[in-house]
Order: sequence, then structure tokens, then C-alpha cells
Amino acid sequence: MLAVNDVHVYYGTIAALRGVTVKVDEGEVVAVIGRNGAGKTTLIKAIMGLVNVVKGSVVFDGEDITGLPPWERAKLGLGYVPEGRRLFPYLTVEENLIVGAHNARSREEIKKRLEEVYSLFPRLRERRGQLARTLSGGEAQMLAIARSLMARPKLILMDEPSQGLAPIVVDEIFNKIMELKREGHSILLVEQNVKKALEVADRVYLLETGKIVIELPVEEAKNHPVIREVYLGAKQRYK
Amino acid sequence: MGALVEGLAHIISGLAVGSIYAAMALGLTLVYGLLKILHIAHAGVFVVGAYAAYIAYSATGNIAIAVLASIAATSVYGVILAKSIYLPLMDKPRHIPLMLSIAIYLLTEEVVANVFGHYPKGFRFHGFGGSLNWGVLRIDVTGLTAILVTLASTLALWLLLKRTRIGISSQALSQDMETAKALGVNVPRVVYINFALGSAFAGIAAIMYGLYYGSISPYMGDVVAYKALVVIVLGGFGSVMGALLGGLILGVAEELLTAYFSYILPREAYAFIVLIVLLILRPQGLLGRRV
Ligand SMILES: Nc1ncnc2c1ncn2[C@@H]1O[C@H](COP(=O)(O)OP(=O)(O)OP(=O)(O)O)[C@@H](O)[C@H]1O
Ligand SMILES: [Mg+2]
Repeated sequence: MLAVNDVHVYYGTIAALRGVTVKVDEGEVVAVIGRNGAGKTTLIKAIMGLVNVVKGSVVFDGEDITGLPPWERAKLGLGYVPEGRRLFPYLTVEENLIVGAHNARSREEIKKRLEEVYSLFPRLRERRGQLARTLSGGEAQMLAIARSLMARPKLILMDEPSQGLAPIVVDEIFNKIMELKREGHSILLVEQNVKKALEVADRVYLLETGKIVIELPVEEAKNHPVIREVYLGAKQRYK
Repeated sequence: MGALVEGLAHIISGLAVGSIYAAMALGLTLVYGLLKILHIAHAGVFVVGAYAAYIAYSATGNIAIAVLASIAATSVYGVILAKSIYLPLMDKPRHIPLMLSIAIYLLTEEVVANVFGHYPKGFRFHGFGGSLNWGVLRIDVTGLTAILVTLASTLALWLLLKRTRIGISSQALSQDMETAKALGVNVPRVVYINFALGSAFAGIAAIMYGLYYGSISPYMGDVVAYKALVVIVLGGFGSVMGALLGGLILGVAEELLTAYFSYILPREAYAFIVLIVLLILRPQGLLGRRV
């Protein structure tokens, strides 16, 4: 469904991605883990068309989208949940959702989709008329996810949904991600919170300074010595 | 009693002039909201609108055709500027499109001056004008029309931004362009629509200006342009209701200060006094960051 092939991205003369290859199949949840500055956000932006890919290609649904502007990629079915939420602060919750519904054909269609995301996130329904900037961190993250769902994307790109949230709220967000997975959504999840990422993922990539260094199914990743010791903390064990 | 009527008359003509400033400022504020640039060339669009109306009216004698010609010419010119200058320079530092914008304005003035002459041309629609008399109060029809047209078109624009999908997308784009793009907002399309609309406002403002002062000239944009800048600073950058309010306040304040204190300072100086005082009182503009 998505193939990122040998992608290189530079900021000025500094390489942020140095030949990254990542694949996501239909119905899969794939996690890309890595430390601060590893290039996770850059990878998502390269897929979305928000940074310039110097070398390599991005193929989505069999189509080479490397040269397409972001809005056309969105139209093809890429959903985007940006790092740090990036809500439209002076739009209401519902207006944020309406922006997300770029491919809805009619008002009825938008209504229908609003109902769907409100039933997945009932708290957003209560806050529908409120400005997005007044939401709590957890609510804001839910809105960022709900906003991407409004376009019924084929693949959702999520950039650190756990960022800056209290552990209990992180659990709540990941329960929702799990729910999306069970509904059959394909997700590419980028996370520093490795423990949570491994709870929902089918496959895992480890990104270090712009290069993929490990690619494994999730069960093997949990037992990989580097991931266990460096990313999960040496003593941590998984059942 | 006489003093009261006189004061009221000044307020009404202040509102009339202010609504011309407001109509100009609306276009600027739309563009500023989206692209974060001061669209100085908007004053050139204003001049083009005035001459388009002048030519169409001279040829046909029909007011509706003159208005349509002005709206058509300004929106096309605005979209051409967006396409050829602002969109290609979107990733450049903001002073680069600003400098080009100033250059385009001066160029437009000079081209119009060369084609139509440097001197003002009389501008009026036959059968339109005069005044309404209510007892001792006389109201100028042109001024009243300017006020009503600006109020109605601001309301329409505000509803468009609040209630339609293209309006909501425009707001999203102005708040976070990168995210809006990635969520499927077609940036060039939204920018063109905003330029077309904003420029049409300049066309309408130009006609109101021509009718109100009875003439147009290639340099008519100079004063109006910097006043419109004052207005969007007053109203809060990117705010539609702020532009309306700012325009009306500036017009009235200028009119009253000139009427009663013209021996101290010229009219144009008062615009900046109003700006400075309001910025001290409300540095974020009248309405801050709202539509
Ligand atoms: N706009 C930019 N200009 C210059 N360098 C940048 C820019 N954005 C990112 N970088 C650099 O590129 C590298 C990768 O950044 P990126 O944001 O992709 O990392 P990340 O894995 O998402 O980090 P985090 O976990 O902190 O979000 C970092 O070294 C960062 O400093
Ligand atoms: Mg990041």
C-alpha cells in the first residue's frame, strides 16, 4: 500500500534521512521508533510531501507520488496526524473536523462523517462548538486523530500521538488507536514511547540518525537486545 | 441644535469615507491572513478598478455594466498577481514579495498614467447622487450608498468565511498553512478565490471613491493605500470585522478631527494620530485574532 524507497531528505546541507526504506501493507499497523532527532517527523513529512525528497521515491497504492503536492496526496487517501496536534486554534472543534473532510461531496456526507467520529470520540461531540485552542492535551490529540478520519483515509500517518501527555491520557489515546486497528485501519505510527508503540504495532522499524537500522515483526522486536536494553530499559520484560 | 446637526453630518460623512477605507482594507486583510504579506499592489488593483468602471461607463452609460467591469477587471488582475508573484514566492522571506508588491503598484500607476493621462478625470454616474433631506439634516446619497454597500458586502464576506467550506478552509490555511495543505486544502485554489474576492472589494471601493470625490486619477491609490494599512493594523491583521470597524473608526475620527481642529494638523496626519492612540490602548488591534 505504501512504499518509501531509499528516501533522502536534507535540511540545507544536513542530511535528515539517508536512504530510508519503509513499507506498510493494507490493514497493518507499522511503528517507526527512534530517539529525538532521529528523523521520524521528517519521514512522515516526506511521505506527506511537506519536505523535498532529493533522492528515492514514495509510492502509494501503486502510484509514484514523490512529486505531488500535499493536498493531492491527501486526496489519494493519506491521512495526517501531525506532531504536536497542529489544530487550527481559532476554529471550533467541528470546524476543524470539517476542514478534514476535504473529499466529502455534500453536507449530508459531512454530517454522516461527523456522527461517525463523534461516536468514536464522544468527548469531541460535547466540545463541538468550542475553539480548538481551549482543548486539553488529550482532547486535542483526539481531535487531531478525528480530523484525519474525516477524509476516510486509506492510510493514517501519526506523528507521536503520546507527546506531552500524562501516562493515563496516553493509555486512553492508544486504546483508541487499538480500536482503529481492530476496525481495519492501516496506520504508520511514529513514536518515542516505544512501549506503547509495541503494544499496537504489527511490525517495527528502528530509525537512528536518518537510517533504518532494525526491521522486525513486533514479537521479535520486543525481544531484540538493542530495543530491549536501549529503548525499553534493560530490566523491562514483556509477557 | 445647529451644532448637533453639524456634528451628526460630520459623523455620517466620516462613516462614508471610512467605509471606502474599510472596503479597501478587506482585500488587504484577506491576503495578509493567508500569505502574511502586505499586498501594497492592492492599491494598483484599486486604480485598475476605477479606470475599468470609467471606461465601461463612458462606453455604455450603464451603471451595472460599469460595476461589473470594475469587479471583473480587479478580480482578474488580483488573480494574475497571486499567480505570477505571490504563490511562486511563498517560500521566500516576506520582504521579497513586499518589495515586488510595491514595484507592481508603482508600475500600475505609471502605466495607467501613460495610457489615460496624469490628470484626474471626472467620475459620475448620471442620475445618481444628490441628497436626502430629513428636516435640517441632509444626507448625501453617494455617501449613504457607500456605507450600505460596504456593510452588506462585509456581512456577505463574513458569512462566507464562517459558513461555507471554502471559507473555513481559508481560515484554516491562514492559521496553519502546512497542516492545511496536508489535510487536503488546495492552496492555490483557496488563494485565487481570496484574491478574486479581495480585489473585487477594491473595485467596489474605487467606484465609491470616484463617486464620492467626483473624480479619479492614476495616483488615487496613494492615500487610500496607506490608510487601508492603518485600518488593518487597527482592526488586527487578518480580521474581517476588525477591518470594517477600523475603517469606520478611522473615517469618523479623521472627519471630526479635521472639522474641528484642521488648523492644527492636515487631515492625513490625523490618521496616524488615531493609529498611535489606538495601538497604545489596544496593541493587538481592535478585535485581535478573530475573523
Ligand atoms: N526545519 C529544519 N531545519 C533544519 N534542521 C531540521 C529541521 N527540522 C528537523 N531538522 C533536523 O533534522 C533531524 C531530524 O529531525 P526530525 O524532526 O525528523 O526528528 P524526530 O525523530 O521527529 O525527532 P523528535 O522525536 O524530537 O520529534 C534533526 O537533527 C533535526 O534537528
Ligand atoms: Mg518528531
